[in-house]
Amino acid sequence: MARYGMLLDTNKCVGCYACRVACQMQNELTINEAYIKFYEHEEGTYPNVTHEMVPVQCQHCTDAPCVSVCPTGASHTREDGIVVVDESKCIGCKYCAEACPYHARIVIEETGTIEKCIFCHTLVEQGEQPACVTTCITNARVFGDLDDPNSELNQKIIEKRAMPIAGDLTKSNFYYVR
Amino acid sequence: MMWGTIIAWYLFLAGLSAGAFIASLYVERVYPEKTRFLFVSRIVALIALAIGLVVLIADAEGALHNPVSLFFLLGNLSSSVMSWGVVFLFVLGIVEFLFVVFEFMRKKDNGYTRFFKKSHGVLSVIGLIFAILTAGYTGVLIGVVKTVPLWNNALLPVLFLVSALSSGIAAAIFFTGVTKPSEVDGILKLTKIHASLVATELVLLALMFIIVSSGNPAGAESVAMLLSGSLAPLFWIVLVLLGLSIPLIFELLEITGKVHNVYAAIVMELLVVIGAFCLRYLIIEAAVPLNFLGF
Repeated sequence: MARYGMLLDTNKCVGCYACRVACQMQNELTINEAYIKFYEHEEGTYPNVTHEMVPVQCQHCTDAPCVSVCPTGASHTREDGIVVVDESKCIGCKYCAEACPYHARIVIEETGTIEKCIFCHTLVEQGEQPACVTTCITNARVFGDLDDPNSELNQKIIEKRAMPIAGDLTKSNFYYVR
Repeated sequence: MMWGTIIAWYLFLAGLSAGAFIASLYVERVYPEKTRFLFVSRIVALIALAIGLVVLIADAEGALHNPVSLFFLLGNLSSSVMSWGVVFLFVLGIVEFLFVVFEFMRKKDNGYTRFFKKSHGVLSVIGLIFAILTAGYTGVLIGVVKTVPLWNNALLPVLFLVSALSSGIAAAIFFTGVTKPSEVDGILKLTKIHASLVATELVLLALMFIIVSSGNPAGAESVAMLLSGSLAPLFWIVLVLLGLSIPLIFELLEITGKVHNVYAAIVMELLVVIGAFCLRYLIIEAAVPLNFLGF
């Protein structure tokens, strides 16, 4: 079975928010609901300044804290490693949102339940890529199978020395180039 | 962070319920003649638990839209502290309910009172165990959230447990005193226990802050918010001064026989109850998550 993961090269990210919009379209979110959050950082004094844009969404942790705290089992990890929420079991207690170190979870206003990035698994099951990956104008994102050593994802992780965003805070399946 | 005042209310009420129930068990042993105290404290315990559960469900919007989802609440007993809590609250609620029913029939002799008297010992032990579990659970619930250092430490559940017992005893004395002041006169043994709990709370708070602030920047930021930041007025005035120190000093004066004023004592218990809510509120509000971004 696959173990899906993603790489995001923040050096390539121009902060156009296209991934967030594509995600909102694909997942039928309202304008105020977004699975991808952007963190912006400037450093230094003129003329020696750097600017970094870090899009953050669910890191699909193997040891997902959201899954272990969920009282109903609504939050669970699929066989392919994708962490999902079963809306019919979610009571909206927001315990998972508190437990997530990446603040990746949001409340869906209409149902009162919790949702988050699901790696567009319906697209993935049809052999396609998640919406944020296909829409990215600079190809900053790579999606693939972490268990397949030959996947483009694994090649890129090695080539660019990509790392989880917060070291070993959780066993994240999301890699960043920074 | 998404949790706010409602969760503080819930943690406060669940702890208070457990504490008031334990207070009633203790008073039953040492002052069995104080039946009004038993009556009031057991009703307070049950009502606090009921209100706590109502506000908790009210905060879980998904369950309001889809009540069927509540049937899955025991779905993750292997790792979810919230699932454990459902069990603890359920058992405690039933035991508290059985005690309240008995309180209403105390003077009668019927099938229920005979059953209750026969199983009183067993019910008391079960109630005591599940009250302690419930009070401790309110701390462990947020204590397992690794991303908030203020919560994720071993002292927090102990602090919540001690505070729950203290607030429960205080609420039991306060509401009993309001209905019949003479009933809370001459309960020095309970006052001694209460004073030691309040003193322990002050020590635990100090110890927890030292440990949490030395751990990492997020923890230090939480402690700074409480000690000198935006939450400092509430922390120092309502919690430390009014909610803990003044009642402790008053109780010590009572114990040493220097002061004897039932009405003042009742007011002091109200201050402890307010302080206990304030503690939960402050701990929820002062949550600062770990910085995962590296900038």
